[in-house]
Order: sequence, then C-alpha cells, then structure tokens
Amino acid sequence: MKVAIVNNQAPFVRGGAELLAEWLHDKLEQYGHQAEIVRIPFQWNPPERIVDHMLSARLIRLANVDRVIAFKFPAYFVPHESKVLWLLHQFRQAYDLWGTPYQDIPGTPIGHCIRETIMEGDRCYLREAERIYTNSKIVGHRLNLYSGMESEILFPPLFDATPYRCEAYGDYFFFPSRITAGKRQHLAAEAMAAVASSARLVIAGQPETDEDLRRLMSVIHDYELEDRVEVIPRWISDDEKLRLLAGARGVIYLPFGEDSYGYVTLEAFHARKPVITFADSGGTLELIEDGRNGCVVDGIHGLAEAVDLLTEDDSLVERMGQAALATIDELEISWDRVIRCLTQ
Amino acid sequence: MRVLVASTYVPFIEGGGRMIVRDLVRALRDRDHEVDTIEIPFLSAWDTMLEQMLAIRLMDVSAAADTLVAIRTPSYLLRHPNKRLWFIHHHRGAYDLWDTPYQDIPPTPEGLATREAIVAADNLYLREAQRIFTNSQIVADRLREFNDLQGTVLYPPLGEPERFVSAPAEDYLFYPCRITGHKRQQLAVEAAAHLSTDVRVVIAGAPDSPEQLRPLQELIGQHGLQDRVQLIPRWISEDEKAELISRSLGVLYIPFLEDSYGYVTLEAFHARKPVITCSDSGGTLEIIEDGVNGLIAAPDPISMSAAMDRLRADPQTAAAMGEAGHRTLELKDISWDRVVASLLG
Repeated sequence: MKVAIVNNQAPFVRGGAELLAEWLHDKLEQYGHQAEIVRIPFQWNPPERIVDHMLSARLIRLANVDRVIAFKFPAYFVPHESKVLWLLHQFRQAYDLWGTPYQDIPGTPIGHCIRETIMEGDRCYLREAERIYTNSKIVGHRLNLYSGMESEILFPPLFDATPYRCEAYGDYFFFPSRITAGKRQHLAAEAMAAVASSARLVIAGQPETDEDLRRLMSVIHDYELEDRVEVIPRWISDDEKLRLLAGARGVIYLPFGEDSYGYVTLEAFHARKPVITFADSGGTLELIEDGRNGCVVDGIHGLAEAVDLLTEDDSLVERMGQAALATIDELEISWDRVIRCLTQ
Repeated sequence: MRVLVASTYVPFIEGGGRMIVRDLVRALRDRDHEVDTIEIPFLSAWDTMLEQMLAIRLMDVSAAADTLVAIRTPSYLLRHPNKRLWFIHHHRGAYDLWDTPYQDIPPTPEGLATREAIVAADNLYLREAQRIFTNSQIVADRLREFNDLQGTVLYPPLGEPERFVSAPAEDYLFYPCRITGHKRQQLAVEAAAHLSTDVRVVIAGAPDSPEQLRPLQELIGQHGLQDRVQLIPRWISEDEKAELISRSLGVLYIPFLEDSYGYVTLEAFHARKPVITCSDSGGTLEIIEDGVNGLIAAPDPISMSAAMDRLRADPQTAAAMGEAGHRTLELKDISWDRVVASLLG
C-alpha cells in the first residue's frame, strides 16, 4: 500500500510530531508498505492566515496515494477517498485554550469569525475520515466535546523498545527530560528536602534556558541538597539514558497539564520502573495507576512520601515494576497495532 | 543563511525535479547554510490545476527564511520577499507542446481558459522573483519567447561527481537510461545491425513497462545481435553505472527532443568518455560538440552506426574526445560552487 503521512510543517522546526511521522514512515516500510511524509506549511500568525491555510489544504490533490494518514489541523483537511486520522491535536487556540492567556486569536469580531470558521471546518470535514484515532484520551475527549466526533485511542509506541532493561532497583530516582519550568524539576528537587530515607535523585536533560537551570540549582543550594540531588544539565545519549534507567529505583515525571503520556513514562515502563507523577500532570495519568505501576501524588510532601515508600519496600517496587511492564501489553501499545489500525 | 528550497512533486514517483532538490539541499548544507524544503504534492491534471495553484499561493512561508529557491513549476507561486527561481520547465502542455500530440489540455472553452490562466499566472508571478535561472538554454529561450522574461542558464551539476572516474576503454559503448520510447534505445539496437567494426553495445535501465522492453528483445532476436548487444533491463545502482561507464569506449545518449543535457552526459564527461548523441536530441547539443567531445549523428541507424564504428576504429581519438569532455565541464563551470553562489548572490 502507498501511504502518505500528512503532517503540518513549520519550516526549520522539529518537534514530537515530526519525530512520530518519521517513526511511522520507517515502521510502515518495515511492514512492507511504501511510505512518504507529506509536509504542508502552516503559518498561524497573523490569525487571518489560518483560514488561508485551511482553504489551501482543501485544494491540494494527493494523487498516486492509496491511504492518507493525517496528524494535525489544518493538514487533515486534505481531500482523499481513503483518509485515516491519527489526531495529535485540533487547533487548541479555538477550543480549550479559548478564554485562556494562550488563546492567540484576538477576541475581536474578526477573531470570532476566524474561530467559528475553524470550528465549522472541523465539523464539516473531519467526517470525511474513515476512522479517527487519537494519541491520548484527552484529545479524543475534546474531539467529542467540541466537534461531536467519535474516535479510538491509539497510543504511540517507542520506535524501538528492545534496548530498555532493568538491572537493579538502586538507591536513586531518575528524572529524564528537558529542564524547564513546565516539567517542574525544581519541585522534584525541593521534595528531596522532605525525604526521610536515603534516596537520591538524578535529573538529566538539556536546560531550555539559563534561567531554568538557575532556578533548579538555587533550590538545591538553598536546601543544601548537593549530596542528594545530581543534575546532568545537558542532552544525554541514548546509552546514558538506558543505563541510568536500568539502575534506577523508579522514575519521577511531573509535567504540568500535558496532553500525551510522554515518552518518559513509556520508557520507564519498558525498563520495569514505577513512575511517580502529579495529579495535575495530564496525559501521564492515562498510563499510571496509583499504587499499581506508580504513584499519583499531590504536592511536594506527597512526592516525598512516595519516594520514601518506594525506597523502603523492595517487594513493592518490584511488583510495581512488573505491573508497569504489563501495562504496555494490556493497553496494546505496539507498532503491530498501530500499523494494523492505520492501514486496515 | 537560512534557505528554503521549494518544489512540487507526485508522491512515490522519482523524477529529475526531486533529484535536483536533494542535490541542491546537500550542496547548500555542505556550505554551512541552514536548509529546509517545501515539497508540495502537485498533479499536472488540467481540470484541477488552477485550484492546486491557488493552494500553493495561499501558503504563507514569507517569514520562514532569508531566501526561497523555487524549482519545479508552479512552486514559484509561493510568496516570499526574496525569491529566486531555478526554473526547470514550464507546464509544457500549455506552451510549446500546445498544438502537438503532447498537448494535455483539451481545446474546449474550459481548456482554453485554463491555458490562459496558467500563462497569466506565469507572467504575473514569475516576475516576483529577484533572479531567474534556468537549467538549459532551451528553457531560457522559451521564457523569453512566451513570457518575455530573461533567464540565465545555470547548468545543474551531478550530485556526486566523484563517483565517475576513468578506466582503460574496453570494446563497448554504454547507454545507461530508463528504457522508454523517447530515449530511443531502439535506435541504438537498430544501429548495431549495421556496424562494420566489432564494437559492442551495453544498454542498462529499468523499462517503464514490459511493452517498452519487448521490441528491443525482438529486434535483437531478428538481427541475431545476441553477441553484439547486451541488455540489462533493470534499475542499476550508481556504483554499477559508474563502473560500466568507467570501462566503456564511450557513452550513448540519444533521447528525442529533451530540454536538458541529461545527467548521463555529465557522468560520461566526468569519467572522460566521449558521448554520441543525435542532432534532434535537444539539450545535449548545448554541451556536445561534434568531433570535439563527442559525435552528433543523424537520428537514423546508418548515421548512428557510422559514429559508433568511428570511436572503435580510432580509440585514441575517442580518448582525446573524452578528455575534451572533461575540459568542457570546467569551461562551462558546471559546479555546485557556481550554482550556490548564483542562487544566493
């Protein structure tokens, strides 16, 4: 089957969607299909451009393609007789972000018009898809709430899960992620001041700005946590990450209000590590079940208690680690399923 | 510098347009430019062409880079304050192929209106470009004739010229190319039936369809040319091709009326081999000079066979022509340094 993966393009910018498109491309070819990534430019500033790009997507002809898999607004408007959506998100500024500081579209008469056009476009054209999958529950929930469409969840797997391993449940918790306010490494560090056991914390990742790193380091300095919290303030290689994961007691991942479960959670589960997250972290809660494959906690003291609990009970950690690995199979997070769903 | 290279393409079909994008991107990156591509699916079907053109016009990439280089038509419709064209062809069905069997727009009122709109869009929006380069003299001539625009010829170099090196010449002439009607492999086989020397012919390339291959096989059978003509009817790797060129006596490239000189000609010249082409081959005549770096034959089997015999009968002259071909590359300055300097200058 000739499959076109249709994604938006912001020239010179690479993010999670670009990575997912590349992974899906390679996997489709591994499964015997021909695949190409089609990137359609999208410029949402000034907001009038949004409507131009919606129309543009409608006017594109994708010939010589058996199946279209589209990811995002407005690229998913491209007409095709055999279109399936793997929806990463609608245009959130018109929906859940409307009325928040992230609305972007102005609250003027023209702004309202643009918003209405976006919503109407979704209502009209999303129906053309044979099936709609979403990458998280929240995206499917919003799609139903705002556009009245049904969808099925299709979690994106890791490209290659085979190198993930568990070697020991050591004395440290691992927090791998870009260092930035939204990921809240500084709260993980602060919690270590309230930990009674001898647990340590290893934070690794590229700081987004100097300020992000300064915020984290000043917490460590203020609470005199130099012996308990180690920071590796740079991008770490896959080998380093795998090694640090393999020896960790568990993983801590505390993003604020994210849509997707985050690859960190999935990587930890493949390495049989329980994950501690916050109740307001968003997508992580789609995978993490408190007391079974990790802990869902509130605030710094909740976090410290969970760290102590997992540090003091060897058999609990092992049990949770096993349950974490089992979760991946239970939810059928695999390329077998992704390829089956998207090409059937 | 941040550069966007824009073009159009049909998904899952390899063509010269995609190759030139890949080669240019690599050449720009090798010179430390930051590069991204905008490759827009585009179907050259007359009845949806205008709306597809509008789709491209509506895309806003004007703030995304310092320079935009547009290649395959109609990617030049993208708006950008600093736009350069490396124009490789018009939609020819609306221009020089109109009123020929290759006219792909019907002469109905809708068809005529579509043709007019394509020409009008070209006339209007090609002029937005700060500079226009073309891949051949023929294309530059058409721009002047049909659109009253001045284009500078900027010959596309090979992506990886270092692959093509010279080895001592053996007894065969090599024709590496997709096997299809207008590349006229058939003429090469017919010529082989008239040879007076013992020169052999090796033809390699993927047939467009079994129907393109069968007449060649039949001709070889009819004239008993099994020992004379070797057919490799499949896609050959770049390494295989380079190897076969390196040991050849010379190269054949005899398409019917092509715009560009063809990468085959450049590959031969890099490997210091003379090229035999036909007087109606088109773009090849821009760089092949009869008796200097190759031979120009009339498009008939007798004239072709005479040219082929001549290289075999006088291998020293053949080798000298090959050397001259290599010098042609330098004289015409066909290099990525020149391409990048011109497009960004």
